[in-house]
Amino acid sequence: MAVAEAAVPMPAKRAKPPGAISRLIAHPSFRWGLLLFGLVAVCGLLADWLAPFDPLRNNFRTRFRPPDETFWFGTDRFGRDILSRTLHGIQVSLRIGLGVALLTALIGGLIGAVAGFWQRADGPLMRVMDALMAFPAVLLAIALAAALGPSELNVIVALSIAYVPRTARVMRAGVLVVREFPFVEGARAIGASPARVLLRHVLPNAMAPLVVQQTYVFALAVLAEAVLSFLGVGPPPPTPTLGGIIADGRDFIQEAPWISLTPGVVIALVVLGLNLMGDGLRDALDPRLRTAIR
Amino acid sequence: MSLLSVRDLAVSFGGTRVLEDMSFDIAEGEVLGVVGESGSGKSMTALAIMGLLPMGGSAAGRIRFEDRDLLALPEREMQRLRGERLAMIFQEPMASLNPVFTVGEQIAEVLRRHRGMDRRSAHREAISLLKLVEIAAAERRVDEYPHQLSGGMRQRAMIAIALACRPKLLIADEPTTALDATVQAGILDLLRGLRRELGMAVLLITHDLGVVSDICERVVVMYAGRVAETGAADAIFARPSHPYTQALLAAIPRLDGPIGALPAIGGVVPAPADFPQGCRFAPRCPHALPACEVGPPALRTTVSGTDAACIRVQEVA
Amino acid sequence: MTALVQAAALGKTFAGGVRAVDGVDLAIAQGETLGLVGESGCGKSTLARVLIRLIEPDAGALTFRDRDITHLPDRAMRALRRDMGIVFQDPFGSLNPRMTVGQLIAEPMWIHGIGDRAARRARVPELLGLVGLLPEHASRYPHEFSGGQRQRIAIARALATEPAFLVCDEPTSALDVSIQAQVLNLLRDLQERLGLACLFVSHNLAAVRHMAPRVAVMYLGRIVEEAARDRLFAAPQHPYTQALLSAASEPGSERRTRIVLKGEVPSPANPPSGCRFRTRCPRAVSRCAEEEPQLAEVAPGQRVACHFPGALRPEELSAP
Repeated sequence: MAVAEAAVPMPAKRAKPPGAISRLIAHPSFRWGLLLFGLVAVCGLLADWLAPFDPLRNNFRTRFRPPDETFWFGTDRFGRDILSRTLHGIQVSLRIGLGVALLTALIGGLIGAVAGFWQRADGPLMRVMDALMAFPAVLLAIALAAALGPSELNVIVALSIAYVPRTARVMRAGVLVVREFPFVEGARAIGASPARVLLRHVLPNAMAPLVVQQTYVFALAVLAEAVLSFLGVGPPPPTPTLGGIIADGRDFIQEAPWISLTPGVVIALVVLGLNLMGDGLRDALDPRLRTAIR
Repeated sequence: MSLLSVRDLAVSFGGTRVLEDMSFDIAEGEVLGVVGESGSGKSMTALAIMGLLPMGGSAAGRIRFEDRDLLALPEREMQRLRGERLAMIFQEPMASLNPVFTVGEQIAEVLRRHRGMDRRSAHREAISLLKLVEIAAAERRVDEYPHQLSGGMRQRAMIAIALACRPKLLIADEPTTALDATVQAGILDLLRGLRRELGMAVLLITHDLGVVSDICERVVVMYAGRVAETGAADAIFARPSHPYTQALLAAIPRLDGPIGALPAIGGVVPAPADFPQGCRFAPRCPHALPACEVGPPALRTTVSGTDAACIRVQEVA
Repeated sequence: MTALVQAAALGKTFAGGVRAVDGVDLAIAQGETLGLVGESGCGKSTLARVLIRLIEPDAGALTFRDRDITHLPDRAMRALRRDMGIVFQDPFGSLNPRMTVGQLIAEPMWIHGIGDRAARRARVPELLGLVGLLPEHASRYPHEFSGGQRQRIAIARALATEPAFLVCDEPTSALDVSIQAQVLNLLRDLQERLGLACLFVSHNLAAVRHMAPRVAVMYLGRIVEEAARDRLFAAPQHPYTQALLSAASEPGSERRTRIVLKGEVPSPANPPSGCRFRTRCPRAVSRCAEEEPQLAEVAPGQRVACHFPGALRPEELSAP
């Protein structure tokens, strides 16, 4: 009888192939990325404790101090400690980066999912995205930041609008692929409503590229925030931001290079860390690679 | 003397052995079928002979082809051998043909590279090769792109490319699996005819016992990375001796005979990581004894003249 | 015996003018299994999906339990899916990899509001047992199973709502030979025990013969012959059926005289005039190009769409 045939010689539970998490940890570039990014992020989070000085207090007696044992990374033209300002600046930058990554994931993910799933919505939605994409992201953010006024929240909103099309495209592409899998037809065959098919069957299987993309958006947002602050449309002074500190040092780049150098290096580390993490995520979540390993 | 002689071939990926103790010979002009289910190691056999194992795979043992040991041959010489003396066709002709070149250009490329023909005569030869594989209107088809051909014609075009240098051995890996029955019949007829005309040996890799019985003289039946039974096709199909061969033949639905529950083989084909210690079929075998689990059984000659890897073959056959 | 599923002049044309299904009449009675054979591109999988409106028909009428469902609104159609199930060919793609086996099997019951949470949870091991799996498999994910086991899971899921009609679209084509027999036996057994009506679609004639007492043969979007199994395999009347049967290669049996068809299957976007098979038929005459043959009864229960039905004579076979 059919029942006995299959039930008896069922193979022993096979060792599970390593899950996404353990594959990630094992991935060298993800590890390095996490280390870099984590180090910078922890410094930023603990800025209130780690910063040796008040990042906002002017002190004219300590202007343009080169790095020494008191001011490890020197001071700027108001005598403010670069290390303290940079640590607090990290906080602001990461808040903005994270905010943009989450907001674009939400909005872009929604737009992309709807466009990919309902063909009728696809044309109109994606044309709007194309139009948005035609503007250079930073230019769009400048215009929006100028219109909305300079504040941290406005920077997040402006950059999110600028980066939504990228996220939407990635999400749409993922949904278009997953939509064609037989199990989606199978879900329709058991009477699942379109909303359930999308939410329960399509989206969970289309999220991987979005997660990867958002690490890159995070990095892009950190960079763009620096550019906006540098151009003076970021969070208003005296708030310390990485781009703002670089801008402060611009006029003294010959005499006091340490002012711009420190936040510049930090930006580079954050962006490098995020990109390495993104690459690791991409490899770990890539289904083609996974089958190759098996 | 045999054209190809494989002895104790083993293929492993990392610590996992996917194939071991594989030995067989092919005489000139002979058609040998290697048949097995997924994970039986049949495709690895073919790739090991061609020196085309996937990354991370390593072969051990001996593969002698025309007095050369292929496993010891440097890659450069292997490259020359492939295409000239050895050729291979695959299951999915669309994936093996380059979509941006015409069929004729792809055949001509082989001719110019291996036979040093000029452009004009290579084109002429391409047409005659397409005729050889019985593609109608070869003069027109030669300038068409792969996507303009049907599945059957693509497989014929692949065969034409493989034949360009008149190889002594053609390895065909599931050449008809992606094709419909009526088209498959045509391809098998073609292979039979070519082999008679050109005296070319064919190593046919397939999961389809019907295809094997249709065109092969001798058969190697594989199960889970080892040879289960080998011998003359007639003998194996008329009087299979290994319990696996017996069960496999019994489990296939037929176009005639009684209808009812099929005598299915319980359980699943083990993955290479789960290969049993002893006889690999033992966990699914109705005749298994504790002794079967001790070690892999050696091939022994059966009453029907085949060789079967089963310690109980005298009682079972 | 009234039909459970009935199609009248059913058709489906895809974008680009591909007439995948064209004027198909068929009926499947309660508890009956109909086999549907044909080669790739003949429209058999499309027909199977049109019959349960996974693909919308654009011609003809479809009735289910004597109710016209051709234009049933989406919401009502979704509710009706409780009575229909489908098992797909690809056991690797047809199960959502992010759901456990238990979730997969309980989902159809949840959608149709069958039982409460506890009742559904209790039903999962029953269904697993029905298809020869064990209760503890409910907490595992599809990737932990082999192809044959996944196909069992797919069958359990399709049967969770106790449908009256099950479509099996090449359910064993992707499976190993030794596993194929297990799944065929399981389907046969379930069909008998549960009194399911079944459409068994396959390119494998021998598998269809094993599964279905009545068989229809499709070529280029149309049914060319339909008969009881014994009739169809012993005395096929349509030249195409005969060619198909003669091309099947079976291990160990004497090679039959093969009817080699000339040419290629024409494009379904631009089928030949008259009889669609005429371009490859050894028996075609000018009438075949002018007049399309309709399915007509040539023997009790055997319908053939051919102007000149009957066994091909040897001299017809040797014609190039």
